Amino acid sequence: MTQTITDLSSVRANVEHANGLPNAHYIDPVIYAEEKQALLFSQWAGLAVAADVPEPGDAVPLDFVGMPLLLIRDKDGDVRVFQNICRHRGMILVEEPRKIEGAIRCPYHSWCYSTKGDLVATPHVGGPGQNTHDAIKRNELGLIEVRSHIWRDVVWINVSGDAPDFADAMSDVMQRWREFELPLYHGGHDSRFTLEVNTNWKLAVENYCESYHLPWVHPGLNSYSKLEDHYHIEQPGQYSGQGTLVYRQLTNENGETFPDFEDVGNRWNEQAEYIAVYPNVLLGTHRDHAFAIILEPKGPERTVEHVHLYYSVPNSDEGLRMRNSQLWKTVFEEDIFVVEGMQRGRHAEQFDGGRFSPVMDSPTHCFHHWVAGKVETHRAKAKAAE
Amino acid sequence: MDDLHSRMLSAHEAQDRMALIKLYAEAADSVNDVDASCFFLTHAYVFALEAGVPDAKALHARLKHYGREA
Repeated sequence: MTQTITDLSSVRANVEHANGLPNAHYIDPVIYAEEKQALLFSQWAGLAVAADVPEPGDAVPLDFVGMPLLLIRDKDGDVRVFQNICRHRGMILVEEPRKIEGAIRCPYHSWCYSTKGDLVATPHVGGPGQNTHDAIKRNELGLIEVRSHIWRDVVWINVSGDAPDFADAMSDVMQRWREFELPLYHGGHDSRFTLEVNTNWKLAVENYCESYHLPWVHPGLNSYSKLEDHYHIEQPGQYSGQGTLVYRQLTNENGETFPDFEDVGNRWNEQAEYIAVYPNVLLGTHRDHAFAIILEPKGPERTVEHVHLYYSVPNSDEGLRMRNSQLWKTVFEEDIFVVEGMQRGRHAEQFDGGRFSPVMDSPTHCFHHWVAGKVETHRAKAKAAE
Repeated sequence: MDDLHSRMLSAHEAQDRMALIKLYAEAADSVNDVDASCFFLTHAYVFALEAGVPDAKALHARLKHYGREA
């Protein structure tokens, strides 16, 4: 395969002079594979939410950028992520979401693993009816665990295993939202939906970061949430996004609202924030609800957005929840033609990555700058290893 | 044994783990050869492990007694 090398020097220029990422970063399978390592596997990326496995033994097979993984809640209630393969012949262990009652049995030769990943049975490994062999050391052949961490119910994974500790890598954003370090309750089946979008995952991040598009793409916001009511959020190398100063709570026909997250402070009465935590998690928080969007890259030009809504109490009003889900679904669907249009635009060969409004687009440029830096670091490491 | 064999096949087809545990244990008890018995016990044990049922403990003990399990 021919290596595609893109010139990223202009991406890392000051926002006034910078170009966006070249087309190849949105359409070229070689660059997609490069970014898989540089941006997704080497970082703390979003895989799923813990609410996907609510009870001990719940197991969900997932494909993360081509890598077969198993999300499972073990017998003690801890959420874990394993590579979804048997250590014997690399067979896929779990094909469909299901409850693991006892052990995970490989369907090929029936090697068995506990929900904590320990290899507990190796039938006939030493011959018929001989279930041990000196060469097969069970304590060395447990499932391959992928580093994971739960924050805001998102299951973050670091496939390469060498990213800084999660608490260090995410310390700034955790500090920013420290007042919201409270229990989050997933709204349940009416508070999750997916959007399948014909776009590169990065365009979903880029659109989410900035408020510039709001009055044009989401005109419904103009009546109360004007462009000037928004502010930029930028933490170079980690996250960017936008905030609003005029958040208005949803009410039902009786004027009732969702209960607030307790003690988050007056500052958040009318303030809300929307942050893209690099690489692929979009978070939003408000006084009375929150959401998480996991962007699942499915190829250079296809992304599945997994949207989950959370509340401060486990038994929030169902009618309000459904109304809130519909409200957000409408907003996110309004963005689809934009990210799909930009994706198709990346096939215009003379496009130079575009330019940024120095005033309005800096959160998006912050993301481009991060991408370029990570890709260049990855290339330098690959070159040094040659 | 022919009847047991056909019951085993039916249980496999139905993916009826509880029946598989019982039938393989029955097969283990129906043979006089230790190797053959441990072959069947192994299957009963694996299905019991998968199902997370208490039978696994006794089946493991039997296999361990014959030096077939850790």
